[in-house]
Amino acid sequence: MSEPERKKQNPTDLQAHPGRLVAYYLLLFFFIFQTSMLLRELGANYDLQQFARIKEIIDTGFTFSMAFESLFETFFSLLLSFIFTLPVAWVYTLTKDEENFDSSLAQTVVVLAMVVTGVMVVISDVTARAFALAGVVAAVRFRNTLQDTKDAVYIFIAVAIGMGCGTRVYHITVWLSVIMSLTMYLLWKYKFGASLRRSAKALGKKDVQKIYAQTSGEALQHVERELGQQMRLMQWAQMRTDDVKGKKKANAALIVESSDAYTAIEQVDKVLDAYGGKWQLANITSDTPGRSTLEYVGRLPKETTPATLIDAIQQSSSPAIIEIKFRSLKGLKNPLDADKKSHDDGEDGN
Amino acid sequence: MEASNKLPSLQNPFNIPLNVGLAGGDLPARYFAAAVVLLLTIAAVPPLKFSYGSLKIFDLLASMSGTILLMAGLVFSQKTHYAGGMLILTALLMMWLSGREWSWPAMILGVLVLGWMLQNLLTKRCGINKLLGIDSCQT
Repeated sequence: MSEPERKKQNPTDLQAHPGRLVAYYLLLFFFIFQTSMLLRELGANYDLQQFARIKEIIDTGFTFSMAFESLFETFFSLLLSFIFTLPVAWVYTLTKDEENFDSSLAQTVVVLAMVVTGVMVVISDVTARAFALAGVVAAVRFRNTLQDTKDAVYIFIAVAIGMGCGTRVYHITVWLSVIMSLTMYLLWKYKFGASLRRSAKALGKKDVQKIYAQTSGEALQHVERELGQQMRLMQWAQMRTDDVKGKKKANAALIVESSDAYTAIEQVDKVLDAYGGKWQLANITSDTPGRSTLEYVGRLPKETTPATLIDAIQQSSSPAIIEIKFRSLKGLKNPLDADKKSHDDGEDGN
Repeated sequence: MEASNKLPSLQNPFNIPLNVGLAGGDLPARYFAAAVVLLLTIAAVPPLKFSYGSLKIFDLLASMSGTILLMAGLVFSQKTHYAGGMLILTALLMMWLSGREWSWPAMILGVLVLGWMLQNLLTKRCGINKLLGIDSCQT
């Protein structure tokens, strides 16, 4: 059974009878009233000159005008703090999606501002109290990791509003509340970060569509063939690395067009063996009769340039070799990985 | 069957079961309250000539302790409602009577309340507990 269900079935006394809390507070006020009566009676009946602190409590703690002034200030500040933070909490509930919404944080934002107001009222201008508060805060551990960075911003707004109300700069606090709520709302409404990213992506897609529209069918076939080949080579290079752990990834591909595949393989293998680099014949395709494409994948040795390699193969003067192409695979990402990433991003954006 | 179970208790309101025990601090609170009411009653005896100021202080202290007991009963799941309520009411009434210079009635009130409290303590049965649905014999 989950915790909320358990609590629902076995409520504590206070959960079952919330009116008791009201009764408790009524009794508390009654108790304070009795205390004031008692202290006044003590003051009237006994000479309290020796008990300066008790006398001070009687004189200042229960003076109606002073108590009313403090009471009014505290109530007014707390009320304004509550009112100013409500829209911030409302913006939070509005802008948070269902999965990440935390009702506790919404309540915390409102209550935190009131608490900070209370703290500021208590501290007022007394430096010693401020230091005492720092000590208390250091002693009490209440840190909590917030999942969303934006949640921390709401907490800071609540603290700022609380401090403003506590120090009675209501004119600043009200604008702080309005501007921050509006900013957070507008950023959410127009999906500030996401919209920038999406517009950049949309622009890229449009360009590709334009190019496609202007390209002839033959050219498109060529592009698709080239892309297919690149994907094939990348996958092969990846598989070669995965097969043997610690093996360096292939960084080059050699594409040889030949009229006689057997002879061409023999000639090319000789040259590649001579130059080193652990080349492997990855693929042989034959689209037209009497013409084959050999695809080699490997690592080009540091001291060898692509031109040297191609020259060496051409100098073997085999009539079987028609065309040689070198393709670097450096810095290219596996097309499948890129597809997967863009798919994930698309889901996030939605 | 349910109706027949309830009827006898409705017909006889004085049929109070044993409901005063140690659970929730009911019994100790009652002893404390009885002792305080006894002290207040003694203080209210006119020949002892306690001033009204002193009596007021005693009564207020008693009432304050009763308030704390009642608060404990309301919020902290204790069963000290009776002791708290009796202390508050008795102390405030005695203070009011003393303020009107009705010292004898104040003392008589104290004696009556003390008698009632002692009767409850001796029989371990309390009508107020029954009324409030409190049974301090069971935890």
